[in-house]
Amino acid sequence: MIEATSICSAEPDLFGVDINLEPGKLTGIVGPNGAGKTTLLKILAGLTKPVSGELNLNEQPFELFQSLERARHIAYLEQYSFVHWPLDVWQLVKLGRYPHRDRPGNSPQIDTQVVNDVMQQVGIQDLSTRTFHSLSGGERARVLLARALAVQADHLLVDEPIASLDLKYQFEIMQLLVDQTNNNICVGVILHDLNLALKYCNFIYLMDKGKVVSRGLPTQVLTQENIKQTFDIDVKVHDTGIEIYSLR
Amino acid sequence: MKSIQQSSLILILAAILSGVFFVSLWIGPIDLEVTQIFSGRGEATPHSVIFWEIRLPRSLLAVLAGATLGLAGAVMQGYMRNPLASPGLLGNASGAALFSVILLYFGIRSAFMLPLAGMLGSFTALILVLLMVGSNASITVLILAGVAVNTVCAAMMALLLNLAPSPWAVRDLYLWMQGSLSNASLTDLMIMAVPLVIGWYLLLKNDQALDVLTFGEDTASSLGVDVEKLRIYIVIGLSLAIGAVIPVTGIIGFIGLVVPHILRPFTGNLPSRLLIPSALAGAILLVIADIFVRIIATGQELRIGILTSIVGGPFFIALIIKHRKELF
Repeated sequence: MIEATSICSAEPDLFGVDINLEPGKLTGIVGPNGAGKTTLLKILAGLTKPVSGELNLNEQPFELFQSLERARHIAYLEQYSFVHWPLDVWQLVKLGRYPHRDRPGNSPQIDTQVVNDVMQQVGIQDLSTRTFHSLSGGERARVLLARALAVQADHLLVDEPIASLDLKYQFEIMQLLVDQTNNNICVGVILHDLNLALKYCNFIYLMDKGKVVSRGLPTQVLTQENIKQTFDIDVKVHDTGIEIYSLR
Repeated sequence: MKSIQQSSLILILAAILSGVFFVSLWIGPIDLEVTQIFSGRGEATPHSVIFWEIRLPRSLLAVLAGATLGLAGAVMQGYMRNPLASPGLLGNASGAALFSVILLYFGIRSAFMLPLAGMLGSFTALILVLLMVGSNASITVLILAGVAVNTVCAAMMALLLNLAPSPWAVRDLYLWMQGSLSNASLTDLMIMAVPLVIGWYLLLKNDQALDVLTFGEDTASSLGVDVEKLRIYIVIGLSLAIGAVIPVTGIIGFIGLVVPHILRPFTGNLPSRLLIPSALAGAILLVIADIFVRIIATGQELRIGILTSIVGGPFFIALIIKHRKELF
Protein backbone atom coordinates (compact mmCIF):
# COMPACT_ATOMS: atom_id res chain seq x y z
CA MET A 1 0.00 0.00 0.00
CA ILE A 2 1.27 3.46 -0.91
CA GLU A 3 -0.13 6.47 0.94
CA ALA A 4 0.81 9.95 -0.17
CA THR A 5 -0.29 13.03 1.76
CA SER A 6 -0.12 16.69 0.68
CA ILE A 7 2.42 16.07 -2.08
CA CYS A 8 3.76 19.30 -3.54
CA SER A 9 6.30 19.63 -6.31
CA ALA A 10 7.58 22.36 -8.59
CA GLU A 11 8.05 22.32 -12.38
CA PRO A 12 5.76 20.58 -13.16
CA ASP A 13 3.61 21.72 -10.27
CA LEU A 14 1.64 19.61 -7.86
CA PHE A 15 -0.37 21.34 -5.15
CA GLY A 16 -1.04 19.18 -2.11
CA VAL A 17 -2.06 15.91 -3.70
CA ASP A 18 -3.43 13.11 -1.48
CA ILE A 19 -3.58 9.65 -2.99
CA ASN A 20 -3.76 6.07 -1.74
CA LEU A 21 -3.01 2.93 -3.70
CA GLU A 22 -4.61 -0.06 -2.04
CA PRO A 23 -3.82 -3.76 -2.38
CA GLY A 24 -5.98 -5.69 -4.79
CA LYS A 25 -7.30 -2.56 -6.46
CA LEU A 26 -6.72 -1.10 -9.88
CA THR A 27 -6.41 2.62 -9.21
CA GLY A 28 -6.70 4.85 -12.24
CA ILE A 29 -5.23 8.34 -12.55
CA VAL A 30 -6.89 10.37 -15.29
CA GLY A 31 -6.82 13.98 -16.36
CA PRO A 32 -5.91 16.24 -19.27
CA ASN A 33 -2.36 16.75 -20.53
CA GLY A 34 -0.28 18.74 -18.09
CA ALA A 35 -2.38 17.80 -15.09
CA GLY A 36 0.70 16.37 -13.33
CA LYS A 37 -0.15 12.66 -13.63
CA THR A 38 3.31 11.46 -14.69
CA THR A 39 5.01 13.66 -12.10
CA LEU A 40 2.78 12.19 -9.42
CA LEU A 41 3.43 8.62 -10.55
CA LYS A 42 7.21 9.19 -10.51
CA ILE A 43 6.96 10.53 -6.99
CA LEU A 44 4.88 7.51 -5.95
CA ALA A 45 7.52 5.26 -7.49
CA GLY A 46 10.24 7.02 -5.52
CA LEU A 47 12.02 8.26 -8.65
CA THR A 48 11.71 11.94 -7.84
CA LYS A 49 11.44 13.55 -4.44
CA PRO A 50 8.51 15.87 -3.79
CA VAL A 51 9.24 19.36 -2.48
CA SER A 52 7.03 18.57 0.49
CA GLY A 53 4.56 15.95 1.60
CA GLU A 54 4.53 12.57 3.23
CA LEU A 55 5.01 9.22 1.52
CA ASN A 56 4.44 5.86 3.13
CA LEU A 57 5.10 2.43 1.68
CA ASN A 58 3.37 -0.38 3.55
CA GLU A 59 2.92 2.01 6.50
CA GLN A 60 6.58 2.96 6.72
CA PRO A 61 8.15 6.20 5.48
CA PHE A 62 9.78 5.98 2.04
CA GLU A 63 13.14 7.12 3.44
CA LEU A 64 13.50 3.89 5.40
CA PHE A 65 13.81 1.90 2.20
CA GLN A 66 17.12 1.54 0.40
CA SER A 67 16.94 1.82 -3.36
CA LEU A 68 17.12 -1.92 -4.10
CA GLU A 69 14.64 -2.69 -1.34
CA ARG A 70 12.23 -0.05 -2.63
CA ALA A 71 12.69 -1.47 -6.12
CA ARG A 72 11.57 -4.89 -4.87
CA HIS A 73 8.34 -3.30 -3.58
CA ILE A 74 7.49 -0.95 -6.45
CA ALA A 75 7.69 -1.90 -10.11
CA TYR A 76 7.40 1.03 -12.50
CA LEU A 77 6.69 1.02 -16.21
CA GLU A 78 7.34 4.34 -17.87
CA GLN A 79 5.32 5.85 -20.68
CA TYR A 80 7.80 5.93 -23.52
CA SER A 81 9.97 2.99 -22.60
CA PHE A 82 13.01 2.97 -24.77
CA VAL A 83 15.26 -0.03 -25.23
CA HIS A 84 18.69 1.18 -26.33
CA TRP A 85 20.31 -2.14 -27.27
CA PRO A 86 18.72 -4.84 -29.44
CA LEU A 87 18.48 -7.38 -26.61
CA ASP A 88 16.51 -10.55 -27.01
CA VAL A 89 13.21 -10.74 -25.18
CA TRP A 90 14.37 -13.21 -22.54
CA GLN A 91 17.36 -11.08 -21.52
CA LEU A 92 15.17 -8.04 -21.45
CA VAL A 93 12.54 -9.54 -19.16
CA LYS A 94 15.29 -10.90 -16.94
CA LEU A 95 16.55 -7.37 -16.28
CA GLY A 96 13.43 -7.05 -14.13
CA ARG A 97 15.19 -9.38 -11.66
CA TYR A 98 17.92 -6.79 -11.02
CA PRO A 99 16.49 -5.69 -7.64
CA HIS A 100 16.80 -9.28 -6.38
CA ARG A 101 20.44 -9.79 -7.29
CA ASP A 102 21.84 -9.49 -3.74
CA ARG A 103 18.78 -10.66 -1.87
CA PRO A 104 19.46 -13.64 0.39
CA GLY A 105 17.36 -16.57 -0.77
CA ASN A 106 17.37 -15.56 -4.40
CA SER A 107 19.17 -17.72 -6.94
CA PRO A 108 19.68 -17.85 -10.70
CA GLN A 109 17.22 -20.77 -10.78
CA ILE A 110 14.54 -18.65 -9.14
CA ASP A 111 15.25 -15.83 -11.59
CA THR A 112 14.88 -18.18 -14.56
CA GLN A 113 11.68 -19.63 -13.12
CA VAL A 114 10.14 -16.19 -12.53
CA VAL A 115 11.11 -14.97 -16.00
CA ASN A 116 9.55 -18.03 -17.62
CA ASP A 117 6.43 -17.65 -15.47
CA VAL A 118 5.79 -14.00 -16.29
CA MET A 119 6.46 -14.58 -19.97
CA GLN A 120 3.85 -17.33 -19.88
CA GLN A 121 1.49 -15.06 -17.99
CA VAL A 122 1.56 -12.30 -20.61
CA GLY A 123 1.74 -14.81 -23.47
CA ILE A 124 5.15 -14.00 -24.93
CA GLN A 125 6.91 -17.31 -24.31
CA ASP A 126 7.27 -17.84 -28.08
CA LEU A 127 9.14 -14.55 -28.46
CA SER A 128 11.98 -15.30 -26.06
CA THR A 129 14.78 -15.38 -28.65
CA ARG A 130 13.42 -12.53 -30.76
CA THR A 131 15.10 -9.14 -30.65
CA PHE A 132 13.01 -6.43 -29.02
CA HIS A 133 13.43 -4.18 -32.04
CA SER A 134 11.90 -6.77 -34.36
CA LEU A 135 8.61 -6.87 -32.42
CA SER A 136 5.32 -5.16 -33.19
CA GLY A 137 3.90 -2.48 -30.90
CA GLY A 138 1.53 -4.89 -29.20
CA GLU A 139 4.28 -7.41 -28.58
CA ARG A 140 6.61 -4.72 -27.25
CA ALA A 141 4.00 -3.51 -24.77
CA ARG A 142 3.57 -7.04 -23.42
CA VAL A 143 7.34 -7.62 -23.20
CA LEU A 144 7.80 -4.40 -21.24
CA LEU A 145 4.93 -5.33 -18.93
CA ALA A 146 6.54 -8.74 -18.40
CA ARG A 147 9.78 -6.94 -17.46
CA ALA A 148 7.86 -4.99 -14.80
CA LEU A 149 6.06 -8.13 -13.56
CA ALA A 150 9.39 -9.99 -13.25
CA VAL A 151 10.20 -7.67 -10.33
CA GLN A 152 7.43 -9.46 -8.39
CA ALA A 153 6.73 -6.28 -6.49
CA ASP A 154 3.62 -5.77 -4.40
CA HIS A 155 3.07 -2.45 -6.22
CA LEU A 156 2.87 -1.90 -9.95
CA LEU A 157 2.82 1.64 -11.31
CA VAL A 158 2.15 1.97 -15.01
CA ASP A 159 2.21 5.17 -17.04
CA GLU A 160 -0.16 4.99 -20.01
CA PRO A 161 0.59 1.40 -21.08
CA ILE A 162 -1.84 1.27 -23.98
CA ALA A 163 -1.29 4.47 -25.92
CA SER A 164 -1.01 3.80 -29.65
CA LEU A 165 -1.95 0.13 -29.36
CA ASP A 166 -4.66 -1.59 -31.35
CA LEU A 167 -7.93 -2.04 -29.46
CA LYS A 168 -7.38 -5.76 -29.03
CA TYR A 169 -4.01 -5.17 -27.32
CA GLN A 170 -5.49 -2.39 -25.20
CA PHE A 171 -8.00 -4.84 -23.76
CA GLU A 172 -5.31 -7.49 -23.33
CA ILE A 173 -3.02 -5.20 -21.38
CA MET A 174 -5.87 -3.89 -19.20
CA GLN A 175 -6.94 -7.44 -18.45
CA LEU A 176 -3.36 -8.32 -17.46
CA LEU A 177 -3.37 -5.40 -15.03
CA VAL A 178 -6.68 -6.59 -13.57
CA ASP A 179 -5.16 -10.06 -13.20
CA GLN A 180 -2.44 -8.54 -11.03
CA THR A 181 -5.00 -7.11 -8.61
CA ASN A 182 -6.31 -10.65 -8.09
CA ASN A 183 -2.90 -11.43 -6.55
CA ASN A 184 -3.52 -8.62 -4.05
CA ILE A 185 -1.08 -6.28 -5.76
CA CYS A 186 -1.59 -2.50 -5.69
CA VAL A 187 -1.85 -1.37 -9.29
CA GLY A 188 -1.74 2.31 -10.19
CA VAL A 189 -2.24 3.26 -13.81
CA ILE A 190 -2.39 6.49 -15.76
CA LEU A 191 -4.98 6.29 -18.52
CA HIS A 192 -6.07 8.63 -21.26
CA ASP A 193 -8.95 6.51 -22.46
CA LEU A 194 -11.81 7.33 -20.10
CA ASN A 195 -13.88 4.40 -21.30
CA LEU A 196 -11.14 1.95 -20.37
CA ALA A 197 -10.80 3.66 -17.00
CA LEU A 198 -14.55 3.35 -16.47
CA LYS A 199 -14.54 -0.30 -17.49
CA TYR A 200 -11.49 -1.60 -15.64
CA CYS A 201 -10.58 0.62 -12.68
CA ASN A 202 -11.79 0.06 -9.12
CA PHE A 203 -11.04 3.59 -8.02
CA ILE A 204 -10.24 6.77 -9.89
CA TYR A 205 -8.39 10.00 -9.21
CA LEU A 206 -9.25 12.80 -11.61
CA MET A 207 -6.49 15.39 -11.80
CA ASP A 208 -6.37 18.87 -13.27
CA LYS A 209 -3.70 21.59 -13.04
CA GLY A 210 -1.67 19.82 -10.37
CA LYS A 211 -4.58 18.97 -8.11
CA VAL A 212 -6.88 16.03 -7.53
CA VAL A 213 -10.31 17.46 -8.41
CA SER A 214 -12.35 14.34 -7.83
CA ARG A 215 -11.85 10.87 -6.38
CA GLY A 216 -14.04 7.83 -5.96
CA LEU A 217 -15.65 5.00 -7.86
CA PRO A 218 -15.37 5.35 -11.65
CA THR A 219 -19.08 6.09 -12.05
CA GLN A 220 -18.89 8.79 -9.36
CA VAL A 221 -15.83 10.50 -10.85
CA LEU A 222 -16.33 10.21 -14.59
CA THR A 223 -19.52 12.26 -14.76
CA GLN A 224 -20.71 14.60 -17.44
CA GLU A 225 -19.95 17.68 -15.28
CA ASN A 226 -16.47 16.54 -14.20
CA ILE A 227 -15.42 15.68 -17.72
CA LYS A 228 -16.82 18.95 -19.06
CA GLN A 229 -14.88 20.90 -16.44
CA THR A 230 -11.51 19.18 -16.74
CA PHE A 231 -11.33 18.04 -20.37
CA ASP A 232 -13.53 20.78 -21.83
CA ILE A 233 -15.59 18.36 -23.93
CA ASP A 234 -19.28 17.57 -23.91
CA VAL A 235 -20.10 13.94 -23.22
CA LYS A 236 -23.01 11.75 -22.34
CA VAL A 237 -22.37 8.97 -19.83
CA HIS A 238 -24.37 5.80 -20.52
CA ASP A 239 -24.33 2.47 -18.71
CA THR A 240 -22.26 1.13 -21.59
CA GLY A 241 -19.67 3.91 -21.67
CA ILE A 242 -18.89 7.53 -22.30
CA GLU A 243 -20.11 9.00 -25.55
CA ILE A 244 -18.41 12.09 -26.88
CA TYR A 245 -20.95 14.03 -28.85
CA SER A 246 -19.41 17.37 -29.41
CA LEU A 247 -16.00 18.93 -29.59
CA ARG A 248 -16.18 22.65 -29.11
CA MET B 1 25.39 -13.50 -35.50
CA LYS B 2 24.76 -15.87 -32.64
CA SER B 3 25.94 -14.97 -29.20
CA ILE B 4 28.25 -17.53 -27.66
CA GLN B 5 28.81 -18.52 -24.06
CA GLN B 6 30.61 -15.73 -22.28
CA SER B 7 33.09 -18.07 -20.64
CA SER B 8 34.16 -19.54 -23.98
CA LEU B 9 34.45 -16.08 -25.51
CA ILE B 10 36.72 -15.02 -22.63
CA LEU B 11 38.79 -18.21 -22.91
CA ILE B 12 39.28 -17.80 -26.65
CA LEU B 13 40.31 -14.16 -26.26
CA ALA B 14 42.64 -14.97 -23.37
CA ALA B 15 44.31 -17.70 -25.46
CA ILE B 16 44.79 -15.31 -28.38
CA LEU B 17 46.18 -12.69 -26.01
CA SER B 18 48.76 -15.07 -24.55
CA GLY B 19 49.77 -16.03 -28.09
CA VAL B 20 50.28 -12.49 -29.38
CA PHE B 21 51.95 -11.47 -26.12
CA PHE B 22 54.49 -14.26 -26.55
CA VAL B 23 55.11 -13.27 -30.18
CA SER B 24 55.50 -9.65 -29.12
CA LEU B 25 58.29 -10.60 -26.69
CA TRP B 26 60.38 -12.11 -29.49
CA ILE B 27 59.89 -9.55 -32.22
CA GLY B 28 62.32 -6.70 -32.63
CA PRO B 29 65.50 -5.62 -34.34
CA ILE B 30 67.53 -8.18 -32.38
CA ASP B 31 66.73 -11.90 -32.26
CA LEU B 32 66.86 -12.88 -28.61
CA GLU B 33 68.37 -16.17 -27.43
CA VAL B 34 66.41 -17.71 -24.58
CA THR B 35 69.56 -19.22 -23.08
CA GLN B 36 71.23 -15.83 -22.99
CA ILE B 37 68.32 -14.17 -21.19
CA PHE B 38 68.05 -16.57 -18.31
CA SER B 39 71.60 -17.88 -18.07
CA GLY B 40 72.97 -14.70 -16.55
CA ARG B 41 72.46 -15.66 -12.87
CA GLY B 42 72.05 -12.04 -11.92
CA GLU B 43 74.66 -10.98 -14.43
CA ALA B 44 73.33 -8.73 -17.16
CA THR B 45 73.91 -9.88 -20.71
CA PRO B 46 72.92 -7.64 -23.64
CA HIS B 47 70.07 -10.02 -24.40
CA SER B 48 68.74 -10.06 -20.86
CA VAL B 49 68.85 -6.26 -20.73
CA ILE B 50 66.90 -6.05 -23.97
CA PHE B 51 64.39 -8.57 -22.68
CA TRP B 52 63.81 -7.18 -19.19
CA GLU B 53 64.16 -3.49 -19.90
CA ILE B 54 62.73 -3.15 -23.39
CA ARG B 55 60.66 -6.05 -24.68
CA LEU B 56 58.86 -7.12 -21.50
CA PRO B 57 57.83 -3.64 -20.30
CA ARG B 58 56.76 -2.73 -23.80
CA SER B 59 54.62 -5.82 -24.27
CA LEU B 60 53.15 -5.51 -20.77
CA LEU B 61 52.32 -1.87 -21.41
CA ALA B 62 50.54 -2.85 -24.63
CA VAL B 63 48.42 -5.32 -22.63
CA LEU B 64 47.64 -2.90 -19.79
CA ALA B 65 46.91 0.08 -22.04
CA GLY B 66 44.93 -1.93 -24.60
CA ALA B 67 42.86 -3.58 -21.88
CA THR B 68 42.15 -0.21 -20.29
CA LEU B 69 41.08 1.36 -23.59
CA GLY B 70 38.87 -1.62 -24.49
CA LEU B 71 37.25 -1.75 -21.06
CA ALA B 72 36.76 2.01 -20.84
CA GLY B 73 35.22 2.01 -24.33
CA ALA B 74 32.78 -0.76 -23.43
CA VAL B 75 31.79 0.93 -20.16
CA MET B 76 31.38 4.27 -21.90
CA GLN B 77 29.18 2.81 -24.67
CA GLY B 78 27.08 1.02 -22.07
CA TYR B 79 26.77 4.05 -19.84
CA MET B 80 26.00 6.43 -22.70
CA ARG B 81 23.79 3.81 -24.38
CA ASN B 82 25.53 4.76 -27.59
CA PRO B 83 27.67 2.59 -29.87
CA LEU B 84 29.64 5.66 -30.96
CA ALA B 85 30.92 6.52 -27.49
CA SER B 86 34.67 6.32 -26.96
CA PRO B 87 36.74 6.29 -23.75
CA GLY B 88 37.64 9.94 -24.31
CA LEU B 89 34.16 11.20 -25.15
CA LEU B 90 33.77 13.14 -21.90
CA GLY B 91 37.10 14.93 -22.26
CA ASN B 92 38.94 12.68 -19.81
CA ALA B 93 41.55 11.49 -22.31
CA SER B 94 42.35 14.94 -23.64
CA GLY B 95 42.39 16.28 -20.07
CA ALA B 96 44.99 13.67 -19.17
CA ALA B 97 46.93 14.46 -22.35
CA LEU B 98 46.83 18.21 -21.70
CA PHE B 99 48.15 17.89 -18.15
CA SER B 100 50.90 15.54 -19.36
CA VAL B 101 51.86 17.94 -22.14
CA ILE B 102 52.03 20.78 -19.62
CA LEU B 103 54.50 18.75 -17.54
CA LEU B 104 56.52 17.72 -20.59
CA TYR B 105 56.53 21.34 -21.76
CA PHE B 106 58.35 22.29 -18.58
CA GLY B 107 60.67 19.33 -18.98
CA ILE B 108 59.27 17.30 -16.09
CA ARG B 109 59.50 13.62 -16.95
CA SER B 110 59.23 12.07 -13.51
CA ALA B 111 57.71 8.58 -13.42
CA PHE B 112 55.62 9.62 -10.42
CA MET B 113 54.51 13.04 -11.55
CA LEU B 114 53.28 12.08 -15.02
CA PRO B 115 50.62 9.50 -14.04
CA LEU B 116 49.56 11.80 -11.23
CA ALA B 117 49.14 14.68 -13.68
CA GLY B 118 47.28 12.38 -16.06
CA MET B 119 44.78 11.31 -13.43
CA LEU B 120 44.37 14.88 -12.24
CA GLY B 121 43.81 16.07 -15.81
CA SER B 122 41.33 13.32 -16.51
CA PHE B 123 39.47 14.03 -13.29
CA THR B 124 39.44 17.79 -13.88
CA ALA B 125 37.99 17.34 -17.36
CA LEU B 126 35.25 15.01 -16.09
CA ILE B 127 34.36 17.33 -13.20
CA LEU B 128 34.13 20.24 -15.65
CA VAL B 129 31.77 18.19 -17.81
CA LEU B 130 29.62 17.23 -14.83
CA LEU B 131 29.47 20.84 -13.62
CA MET B 132 28.35 21.92 -17.07
CA VAL B 133 25.69 19.23 -17.17
CA GLY B 134 24.37 20.01 -13.69
CA SER B 135 21.40 17.92 -12.70
CA ASN B 136 20.41 17.39 -16.33
CA ALA B 137 20.71 13.68 -17.05
CA SER B 138 20.34 13.99 -20.81
CA ILE B 139 22.96 12.07 -22.76
CA THR B 140 23.00 14.71 -25.50
CA VAL B 141 23.94 17.45 -23.03
CA LEU B 142 26.62 15.17 -21.57
CA ILE B 143 28.13 14.56 -25.02
CA LEU B 144 28.00 18.26 -25.89
CA ALA B 145 29.82 19.14 -22.67
CA GLY B 146 32.42 16.47 -23.48
CA VAL B 147 32.91 17.91 -26.97
CA ALA B 148 33.40 21.36 -25.44
CA VAL B 149 36.03 20.16 -22.96
CA ASN B 150 37.79 18.17 -25.71
CA THR B 151 37.93 21.28 -27.88
CA VAL B 152 39.35 23.43 -25.09
CA CYS B 153 42.00 20.82 -24.26
CA ALA B 154 42.99 20.46 -27.92
CA ALA B 155 43.31 24.25 -28.20
CA MET B 156 45.48 24.42 -25.08
CA MET B 157 47.75 21.69 -26.40
CA ALA B 158 48.04 23.50 -29.72
CA LEU B 159 48.91 26.65 -27.79
CA LEU B 160 51.69 24.86 -25.90
CA LEU B 161 53.08 23.50 -29.19
CA ASN B 162 52.89 27.02 -30.59
CA LEU B 163 54.80 28.50 -27.67
CA ALA B 164 57.34 25.71 -27.35
CA PRO B 165 60.83 27.24 -27.06
CA SER B 166 62.55 25.16 -29.76
CA PRO B 167 61.69 23.08 -32.83
CA TRP B 168 63.00 20.01 -30.97
CA ALA B 169 60.58 20.61 -28.11
CA VAL B 170 57.71 20.93 -30.62
CA ARG B 171 58.78 17.68 -32.24
CA ASP B 172 59.02 15.94 -28.87
CA LEU B 173 55.60 17.07 -27.71
CA TYR B 174 54.04 16.33 -31.05
CA LEU B 175 55.45 12.82 -31.23
CA TRP B 176 54.42 12.16 -27.63
CA MET B 177 50.85 13.10 -28.55
CA GLN B 178 50.82 10.51 -31.34
CA GLY B 179 51.29 7.66 -28.88
CA SER B 180 54.10 5.20 -28.29
CA LEU B 181 54.72 2.20 -26.09
CA SER B 182 58.49 2.38 -26.28
CA ASN B 183 59.22 4.64 -23.33
CA ALA B 184 58.09 2.53 -20.38
CA SER B 185 60.23 0.78 -17.80
CA LEU B 186 59.05 -1.89 -15.37
CA THR B 187 59.07 0.78 -12.65
CA ASP B 188 56.73 2.97 -14.72
CA LEU B 189 54.41 0.01 -15.09
CA MET B 190 54.42 -0.72 -11.38
CA ILE B 191 53.58 2.89 -10.55
CA MET B 192 50.79 2.92 -13.08
CA ALA B 193 49.41 -0.48 -12.06
CA VAL B 194 47.97 0.69 -8.74
CA PRO B 195 45.53 3.34 -10.04
CA LEU B 196 44.90 1.14 -13.04
CA VAL B 197 43.67 -1.81 -11.01
CA ILE B 198 41.50 0.39 -8.80
CA GLY B 199 40.09 2.05 -11.92
CA TRP B 200 39.34 -1.31 -13.55
CA TYR B 201 37.63 -2.47 -10.38
CA LEU B 202 35.39 0.61 -10.28
CA LEU B 203 34.53 0.24 -13.97
CA LEU B 204 33.70 -3.47 -13.63
CA LYS B 205 31.81 -3.15 -10.34
CA ASN B 206 28.54 -1.90 -11.81
CA ASP B 207 28.38 -4.15 -14.84
CA GLN B 208 24.74 -5.16 -14.31
CA ALA B 209 23.66 -1.58 -13.68
CA LEU B 210 24.81 -0.87 -17.24
CA ASP B 211 22.45 -3.59 -18.48
CA VAL B 212 19.53 -2.03 -16.66
CA LEU B 213 20.43 1.37 -18.13
CA THR B 214 19.31 -0.09 -21.47
CA PHE B 215 15.88 1.17 -20.41
CA GLY B 216 17.08 4.68 -19.61
CA GLU B 217 17.70 6.29 -16.25
CA ASP B 218 14.12 6.42 -14.92
CA THR B 219 13.43 2.73 -15.31
CA ALA B 220 16.96 1.90 -14.15
CA SER B 221 16.46 3.81 -10.92
CA SER B 222 13.02 2.24 -10.50
CA LEU B 223 14.88 -1.08 -10.55
CA GLY B 224 17.12 0.10 -7.74
CA VAL B 225 20.11 1.51 -9.60
CA ASP B 226 21.49 4.54 -7.79
CA VAL B 227 22.08 6.56 -10.94
CA GLU B 228 24.11 9.29 -9.24
CA LYS B 229 26.36 6.81 -7.46
CA LEU B 230 26.87 4.94 -10.73
CA ARG B 231 27.99 8.16 -12.39
CA ILE B 232 30.51 8.80 -9.58
CA TYR B 233 31.93 5.27 -9.87
CA ILE B 234 32.34 5.64 -13.62
CA VAL B 235 33.86 9.12 -13.41
CA ILE B 236 36.44 8.06 -10.81
CA GLY B 237 37.10 4.73 -12.54
CA LEU B 238 37.69 6.45 -15.89
CA SER B 239 39.88 9.13 -14.32
CA LEU B 240 42.11 6.58 -12.63
CA ALA B 241 42.38 4.12 -15.52
CA ILE B 242 42.61 6.49 -18.50
CA GLY B 243 44.56 9.05 -16.47
CA ALA B 244 47.18 6.45 -15.55
CA VAL B 245 47.59 5.14 -19.10
CA ILE B 246 47.73 8.28 -21.23
CA PRO B 247 50.80 9.95 -19.67
CA VAL B 248 52.81 6.79 -20.38
CA THR B 249 51.47 6.00 -23.87
CA GLY B 250 50.30 9.29 -25.34
CA ILE B 251 47.04 9.33 -27.25
CA ILE B 252 46.00 6.03 -28.83
CA GLY B 253 42.72 6.31 -30.70
CA PHE B 254 40.06 3.98 -32.00
CA ILE B 255 40.85 0.93 -29.84
CA GLY B 256 38.19 1.82 -27.28
CA LEU B 257 35.70 2.74 -29.99
CA VAL B 258 36.12 -0.23 -32.33
CA VAL B 259 36.67 -3.12 -29.92
CA PRO B 260 33.26 -3.15 -28.20
CA HIS B 261 31.72 -2.71 -31.61
CA ILE B 262 33.35 -5.85 -33.00
CA LEU B 263 32.44 -7.93 -29.96
CA ARG B 264 28.89 -6.76 -29.36
CA PRO B 265 27.24 -9.32 -31.68
CA PHE B 266 28.96 -12.14 -29.78
CA THR B 267 27.60 -10.99 -26.44
CA GLY B 268 23.90 -10.75 -27.24
CA ASN B 269 24.23 -6.94 -27.00
CA LEU B 270 24.23 -7.08 -23.21
CA PRO B 271 26.59 -4.32 -21.93
CA SER B 272 27.81 -6.31 -18.91
CA ARG B 273 28.91 -9.24 -21.05
CA LEU B 274 30.96 -6.89 -23.18
CA LEU B 275 33.29 -5.60 -20.47
CA ILE B 276 35.90 -8.32 -19.90
CA PRO B 277 35.94 -9.49 -23.54
CA SER B 278 36.51 -5.86 -24.62
CA ALA B 279 39.42 -5.53 -22.19
CA LEU B 280 41.01 -8.70 -23.58
CA ALA B 281 40.38 -7.77 -27.22
CA GLY B 282 41.69 -4.24 -26.62
CA ALA B 283 44.89 -5.76 -25.26
CA ILE B 284 45.14 -8.12 -28.24
CA LEU B 285 44.70 -5.32 -30.76
CA LEU B 286 47.23 -3.04 -29.11
CA VAL B 287 49.83 -5.82 -28.81
CA ILE B 288 49.36 -6.66 -32.49
CA ALA B 289 49.55 -2.97 -33.44
CA ASP B 290 52.77 -2.67 -31.47
CA ILE B 291 54.21 -5.71 -33.26
CA PHE B 292 53.42 -4.06 -36.60
CA VAL B 293 55.01 -0.80 -35.51
CA ARG B 294 58.24 -2.73 -34.91
CA ILE B 295 58.04 -4.78 -38.12
CA ILE B 296 57.12 -2.04 -40.58
CA ALA B 297 60.40 -0.56 -41.66
CA THR B 298 60.17 3.19 -41.52
CA GLY B 299 63.19 5.38 -40.91
CA GLN B 300 61.64 6.83 -37.78
CA GLU B 301 59.59 4.29 -35.80
CA LEU B 302 55.91 4.58 -36.72
CA ARG B 303 53.89 6.02 -33.79
CA ILE B 304 51.35 3.50 -32.57
CA GLY B 305 48.58 6.08 -32.16
CA ILE B 306 48.94 6.96 -35.83
CA LEU B 307 48.80 3.30 -36.82
CA THR B 308 45.65 2.57 -34.77
CA SER B 309 43.94 5.61 -36.29
CA ILE B 310 45.03 4.82 -39.84
CA VAL B 311 43.77 1.24 -39.57
CA GLY B 312 40.90 1.94 -37.17
CA GLY B 313 39.40 4.82 -39.15
CA PRO B 314 38.59 2.98 -42.38
CA PHE B 315 37.64 -0.10 -40.38
CA PHE B 316 35.13 1.95 -38.47
CA ILE B 317 33.78 3.44 -41.69
CA ALA B 318 33.34 -0.09 -43.05
CA LEU B 319 31.54 -1.15 -39.87
CA ILE B 320 29.11 1.74 -40.11
CA ILE B 321 28.32 0.99 -43.75
CA LYS B 322 27.87 -2.69 -43.01
CA HIS B 323 25.65 -2.13 -39.99
CA ARG B 324 23.87 1.08 -40.95
CA LYS B 325 20.55 -0.68 -41.34
CA GLU B 326 20.86 -2.30 -37.92
CA LEU B 327 22.02 0.87 -36.19
CA PHE B 328 19.14 2.32 -34.32
